[in-house]
Amino acid sequence: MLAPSAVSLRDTGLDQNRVACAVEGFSVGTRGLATIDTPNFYGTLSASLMLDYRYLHAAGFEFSVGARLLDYRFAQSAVFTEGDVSVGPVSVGVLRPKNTRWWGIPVAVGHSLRFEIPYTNSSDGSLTVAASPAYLVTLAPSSKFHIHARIAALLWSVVPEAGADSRAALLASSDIAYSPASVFSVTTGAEVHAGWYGLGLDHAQARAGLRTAIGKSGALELAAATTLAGAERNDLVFWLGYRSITVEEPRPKRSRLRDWANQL
Amino acid sequence: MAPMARLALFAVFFLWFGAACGQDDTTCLGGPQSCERAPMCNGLRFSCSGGGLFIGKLSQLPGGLDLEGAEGTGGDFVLQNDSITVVFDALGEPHDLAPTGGNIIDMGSRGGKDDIVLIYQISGILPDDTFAYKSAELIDNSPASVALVVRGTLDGRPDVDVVTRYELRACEPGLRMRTDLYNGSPDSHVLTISDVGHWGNRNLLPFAPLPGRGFVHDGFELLELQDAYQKFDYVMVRAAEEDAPTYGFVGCDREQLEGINSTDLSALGTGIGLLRPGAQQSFERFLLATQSDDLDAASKRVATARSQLHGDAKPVTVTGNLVSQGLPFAGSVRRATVVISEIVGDNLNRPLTTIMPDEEGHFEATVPSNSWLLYEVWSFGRVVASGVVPRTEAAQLGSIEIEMPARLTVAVTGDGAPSFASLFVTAADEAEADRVRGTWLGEFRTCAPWLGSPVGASPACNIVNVEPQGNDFEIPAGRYQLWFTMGEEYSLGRVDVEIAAGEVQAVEVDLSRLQLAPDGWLSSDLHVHGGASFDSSIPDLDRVRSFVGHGVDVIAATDHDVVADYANAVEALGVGDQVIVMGGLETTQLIPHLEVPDSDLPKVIGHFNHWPMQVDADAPRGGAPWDELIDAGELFDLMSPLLGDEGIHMLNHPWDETQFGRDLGFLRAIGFDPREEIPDADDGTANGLLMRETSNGTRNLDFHLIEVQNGANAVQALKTRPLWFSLISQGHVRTGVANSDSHELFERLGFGRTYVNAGIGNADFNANAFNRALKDGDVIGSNGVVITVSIGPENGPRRGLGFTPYQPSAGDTVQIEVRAPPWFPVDEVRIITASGERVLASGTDLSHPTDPLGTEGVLRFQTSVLLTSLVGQGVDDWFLIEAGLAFQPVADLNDDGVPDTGDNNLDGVVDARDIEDEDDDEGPFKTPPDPTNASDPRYALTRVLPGAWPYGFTNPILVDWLGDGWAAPGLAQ
Repeated sequence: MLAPSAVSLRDTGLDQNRVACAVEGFSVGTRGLATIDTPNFYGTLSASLMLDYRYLHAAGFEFSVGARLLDYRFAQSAVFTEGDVSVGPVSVGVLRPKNTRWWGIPVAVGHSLRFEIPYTNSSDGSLTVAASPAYLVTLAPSSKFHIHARIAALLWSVVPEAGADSRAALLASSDIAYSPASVFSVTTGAEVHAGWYGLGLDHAQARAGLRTAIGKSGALELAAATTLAGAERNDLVFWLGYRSITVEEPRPKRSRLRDWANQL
Repeated sequence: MAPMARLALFAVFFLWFGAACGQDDTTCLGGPQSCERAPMCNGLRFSCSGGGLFIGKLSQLPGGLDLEGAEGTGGDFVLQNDSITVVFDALGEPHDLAPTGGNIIDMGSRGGKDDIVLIYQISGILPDDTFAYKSAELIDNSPASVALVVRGTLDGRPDVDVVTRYELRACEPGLRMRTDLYNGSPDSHVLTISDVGHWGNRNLLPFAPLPGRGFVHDGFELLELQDAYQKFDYVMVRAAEEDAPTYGFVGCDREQLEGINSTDLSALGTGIGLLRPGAQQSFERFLLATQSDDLDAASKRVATARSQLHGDAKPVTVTGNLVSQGLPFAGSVRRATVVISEIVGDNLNRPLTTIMPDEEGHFEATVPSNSWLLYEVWSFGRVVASGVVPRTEAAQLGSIEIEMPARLTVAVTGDGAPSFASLFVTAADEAEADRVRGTWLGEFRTCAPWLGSPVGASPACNIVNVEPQGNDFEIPAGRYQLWFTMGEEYSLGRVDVEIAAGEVQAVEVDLSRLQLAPDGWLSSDLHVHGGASFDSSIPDLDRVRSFVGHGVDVIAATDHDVVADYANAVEALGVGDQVIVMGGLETTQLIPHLEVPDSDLPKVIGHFNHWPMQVDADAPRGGAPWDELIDAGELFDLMSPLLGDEGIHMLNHPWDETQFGRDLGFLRAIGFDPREEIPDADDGTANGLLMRETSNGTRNLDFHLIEVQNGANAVQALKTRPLWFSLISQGHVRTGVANSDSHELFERLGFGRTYVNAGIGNADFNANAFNRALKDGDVIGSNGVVITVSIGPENGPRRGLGFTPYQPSAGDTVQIEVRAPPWFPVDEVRIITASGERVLASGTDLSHPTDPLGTEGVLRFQTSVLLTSLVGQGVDDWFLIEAGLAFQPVADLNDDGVPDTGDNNLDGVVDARDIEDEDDDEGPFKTPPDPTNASDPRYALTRVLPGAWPYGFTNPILVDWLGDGWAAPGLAQ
């Protein structure tokens, strides 16, 4: 309930935010994105269905696999409009969390890496690779209030016939989550993102969300983000997702991998 | 999560992985080696003996360029085989709409003609979406093939890579083309890869094999382009001429091309698609060229190519013979062309090809069809015979009888001397007009009678260039009025004839010179176009015949973006003593770039004329510089060194409508408001744009002339007058001129025209002296009405026009004289000052000749009035005189300071009810209808000049009361 908002701006969700703690469970969500650049006669609307599964390993790692199951995109230029459906990509990820205390406050610190698997995006005609290493921090001053911070790099490279074409960006964000009641929480945050279009600020973004508990382990989240400044075209992003968390840290003593094998 | 659920989830991911794997073709994006492997219309299999391949710079081409009408120069690239020659402009020497070279500027059969203006590539309609090639690579794989590969990016999207490979193989009558585009941007884009052929509106015409189409195309709005997109099995393009090239577009990697066709341009290529970041797209096609009288030769090759590429069924042949009065009837653009269509529904046909019968009247067409066919014989613009034939592999139409035309022989003398002249043929009455009204296969303007393509050589539409030795031409049998003119300085001739099929009649007339302009003044038309312009196809000889046939002394040749001077045609006709042609140029920006206040869309600066210029035949565009992406002041800086000390920059049709999203008039483009002051410097306002300076201090306002009258009607004059008057009142005094802007014979040369008092004649003509007089404002603008003005003491020394301020003395008078040929009605004389305009004389104050065909009554009005009765005393002012027919009512309904709407519903009031498009807030502003009653004063005039409105004006005289320098009076409050 106190995770940061999962809203993401980049095309495949490469920049999706997360908590620094390792968890096990799945999430499914839809993202809507609007880009409106009136001076340049450009606009896009897209809707994506995202699925993600996270697995908590006894060794202390969280492994994840996810996919953009379906993506519909509509774009408009000065006189042309067109829509397109694609599937993929599939991504895998890993998180190494560490629990500690700063000034007496419980803190989770995580190193994560998300990697998009080449040739899993139907819209790519070429070898495309994307990865995002991140450093995550979650402070828990109380059971109702968490602070999240993130520094991440976004790396994207495509190898068309013309040769490698790459982009990279640095991203820093901070979010707070407050849960005044056990079944309800609010989140808000800000993000700066630079380097994707060359040197300079890509965007400064503000975001906010609402989350409500569903059942014992599920939560439904509605969030939105918007760009306040930067070279990025004017974007508005919505996220409606459901996450079910079956296991949270502290991790169990026994190896879950072994348990799973036994069950099979 | 349950174990089975986990398994299912992983299974989904692996299936996903397999489904989403991309399939990558080899493309030209990967460099030379991958481009060699990339598919290039691999299904084509033309064969022959020989080959004769050449690749290189045009300067290296053995024997030089063998295409008539080509514009390639030494630095351009050439691909050639035994069949065709193709010229691509050098990368640094772009033409027309393209931002760089690397595009097709000439193409045709060896030893034949070239009609291409430009074929280039785009991905959308914005300037950013145009292909900008940065490098070129010549690949010589002869004797098999030669290729030019050009690489670059979209002009405004440097992260979208583009490559086009043009490949010419031995034996092939066309060019294989492959274009690859890679979206390296972080955005999804809606793109197409399309070849754009710029046809120019009066030149080539696309032929689309779609129901109801052929050469006929609907207009469309640029911003609704996608709605106009259609699919075509193929498209052919040719001019309305005999022995001319036909070009054919066939898709190689797709059965149908997608795009649009119009008389201005075609865009043919892939469909419109969304291209995500990292995705790429390719397009293969075959562009062929033939030389023939009709579409059939190209049609055969298109059918062959489609059969090889797409397995189309074998085409069928259609044969027949035209006969008239028992004799074989040979075809021509005028006499007979057969159109073969496929019947696809009730009253719905799909034109497939055209064929012209040979000297024996025989024709054999090849058409790709699986259905019943319809044939139509077009003669003098009309369908004169038609029939239906069942589907068969070899359809025999037998003999088709059509009516024999009549023949007229005409000759004109001017004051007894054989002369060049113009003949306008009109039907005797409306019923006769309906009978002989025609078009060129349904396209271009309608003419009654239709004697030839309106945009081509004489006879064109209903107009004949008459030569001193006389002419003969064919005409459908009928009753006609023949109107002869040698321009506004001669009387008008009329002969009525009734002529039967096969009959020959001869007509001769003598026209008399009228004393219209003062002695020593030169008449000029400073805005004319010919075949060198992308939007004109008048042969040079016919163009020059029209110069002298309309009695114009001086011409400024102002073709679009190319320097021309018609010197060869003037010499060939031996008329150098009758007309002076100054080489010049109309700069015609086509790539929108200019940011102006209150406009979301980028603009171009419109059209400006410049002269005198020397033709440089070895330079691209005849020596004209590339004029895109610059402001008006920068344009003047660019042009001035090419013109000499007395060179002229003229602002053309300042408030003209846009054409295909391109602004034609600078003042309209920037949103100039004549009711507002022009600031001292560029302050970011529309009016301030006029004061924007270059680093040389040249302002956008620093043109010398403003074109007040453009053409024979009053539309441009009514729009330009308030702009001109506003400039004068604010101290930006520019010479107003009148021109024809003629692009075809139908747009009559010399209406309007500008009289210049340069103190020289044709024999001692001097461009510098002529231009100095122009700049000084010793100039009268005329569309059939010539006004002379003098000022001074009633019995003392007097002066005429000119911008040197005049310091009045007590009792000074202004003498005004208005002259017009009897065939131009005049009923009003007006004076314009900084305070506004008022009528000086009207109705019975003027004389009105009773015989429009006579020579009497040229002097319409003469007066001498005190200067103080015209302008206020003591305050510097200006005045000019206008005369003509009183203008029809107009109004400025969109409140921009310029008239925009006429009395379209003819209720006597101009208001919102006159707006014809409910989505608009203005217009249209149409020419008043021509009278059909022979007693109407405009009847004779409008037989010769449809839509004409008599109008003349002087340039302003600046009144400096104290002799302390003329102070601009400012805008009227």
